[in-house]
Parts: sequence; C-alpha cells; structure tokens
Amino acid sequence: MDMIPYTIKEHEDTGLYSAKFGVWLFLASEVMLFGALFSAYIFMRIGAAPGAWPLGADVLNVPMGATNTVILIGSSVTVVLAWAALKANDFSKFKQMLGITLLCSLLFMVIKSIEYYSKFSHGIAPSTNTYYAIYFTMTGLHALHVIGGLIVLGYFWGPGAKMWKTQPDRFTNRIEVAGLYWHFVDLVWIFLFPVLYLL
Amino acid sequence: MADAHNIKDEVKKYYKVFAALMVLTVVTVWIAGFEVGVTVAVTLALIVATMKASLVASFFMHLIAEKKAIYVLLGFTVFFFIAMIFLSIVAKYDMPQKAEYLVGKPVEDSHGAHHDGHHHKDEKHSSDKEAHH
Repeated sequence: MDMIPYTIKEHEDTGLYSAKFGVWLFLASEVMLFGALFSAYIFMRIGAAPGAWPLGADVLNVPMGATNTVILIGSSVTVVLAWAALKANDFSKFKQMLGITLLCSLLFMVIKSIEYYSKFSHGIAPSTNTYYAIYFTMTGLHALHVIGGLIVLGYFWGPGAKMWKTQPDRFTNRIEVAGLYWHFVDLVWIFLFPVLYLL
Repeated sequence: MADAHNIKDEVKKYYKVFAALMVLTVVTVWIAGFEVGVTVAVTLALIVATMKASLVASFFMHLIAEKKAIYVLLGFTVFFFIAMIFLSIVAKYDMPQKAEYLVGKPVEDSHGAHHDGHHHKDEKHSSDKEAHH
C-alpha cells in the first residue's frame, strides 16, 4: 500500500516521518532566503545618507499592515486547528478550519493588492528608490509564498481531501507539513511588519 | 505524536497562544509610537517580534517537543543566519571613504541646490572606482 516509505512510520535515524524532516530542511533554506533579504535591508538602511531613508509609518498604511498581521496569525491558528481536528477524527471541523485558513490568506492578498495598487497609481514602483526596491521585493516574495500556500492548502481542502478516506494518517501528516510551511510564512510576516511598516 | 485526549489540551494551548499573539501585536503597534532613538526602537521591535515568533514556533510548529534532528538542523540555521546579519553590519565599515549614496529621487542638499545623488565630477567618480579595484 505505502509505496513511499516513512510517510507515516518514523525513520529510525531521525525519529521523524520523512516529510516532516523534509519540510524543516526546506524551511531552513527559506530562513536563509528571507534572511538574505533582511540583511540586504539592514545593509541598505545603515548605508543610506542621513535622512534619506523614510520612516515606514510615513509611507505605508500601518492599519492595513496591522490588519494583515492579525489575519495571518489567525490563519496560523486555524491551520493548526485543522490538523488537530484530523487528529481527533473530525473531518468536518478540519474542512471548516482549513476553509477559514484559505479565506484569511485570500483576504491577506486582497489587502496587499490594495496597498500595491495605491503605490503604483501614485507612480511608485520598485525602481523609485532603494526603500521601495526592498519593500516591494520583500513583500512581493512573501506574497508569492502566500500564493504558493494558498494553492497547496486549497488542493488539500478540495481534491486532495480524498486521501482522508484511503490513508487518513498520511493525509493528516500532509496537513501537518503544509501547516508548518504556513506557519513559516506567518513568521516572516511577523518580522516584516514591524521592520517595514513601523521602523 | 499527540493522541485523542491530548489533542483537546493541545487545542486549548493553541487558543491561549493566539490570545497572547493578539496582545503582542497590539504591543508592537503601541511601542512603535514611543519617542525613542533608532537603536532603542529597533531593539524593542525585534524583542517583541522574537517573542511572537517564539510562540508560533514553539506551539504552532510544535518545536517545544520536537526531535533532536530538527533541533540540530535549526542550530546550524540560526548560526548561519546570525553570521549573515553580522557580516552585513560589519560590511558597513568596509566601505571606501568617498562612497556615494544613490538615493534615486532628486535630493536637495543644504545649499538648496538640486542634484540627482550622483557626484557631479564624473571623472573623479570613475577614477575613485578604479582605485578601489
């Protein structure tokens, strides 16, 4: 039945099922990716001429950013509750919680689009100056990660949920692993928001 | 992994962590309004962000009860991440003396003259670059 080994059974060396170790390896690489962008931000900001770097609160919409923070943290809670529901054998609760997660991430993208549009319509683009270059790069890459999560979680909510009937433990593990990725996306935003919007 | 009745306790923890995260988000925005110097502002913001990140990592990502393999992996990650940030900060003191700052938008200097952030004497600018190479 299980063509791929260690999808449920833990591997002897790590004590983990493979996907969990795999996703943490992936997240480690993502830490370096976003870390590189954060260090680029630091480098450019401390290297900027005095007074040239704008205060985030002056150029960005703090209420929108704060709302997005609340939305993303909320979606992190619901995705872990979705996994917990599967652990407790409650499939309908799982569907409910994952559905809310998906709605939250869609809402995040809507608000982000509004923010981006307001910048573009004022002729502000990544090429405007180094502040906007790093702002659009970091939030843009983060938004791409949100979209990636939307696609994967959406698949698990929709056609992918069929696996619950045939291999429930393996499906539960899939939700756990996708949830770990989603928490990471939330973590990045937890740092992005104060750094870009408030400092 | 958590079993059926354990899961109910885990769920209670998740709600508590969510409440704590909401409070910390309010704190984040509140402390941003403090009239303090840049260093203090950055330090405070990072402390609060780290607290929130620790809560998400420890409870939502279940790091508080993970296997050693993950801890070892994350140990390496943290080390290299800190090294990267440290090198970026140290690199500031490696800048050549007459480095120009590209600001992008026209900047008015203290004499009220407008310039585009580039040094006017282009020959001197390019010869500075060659000397540095």
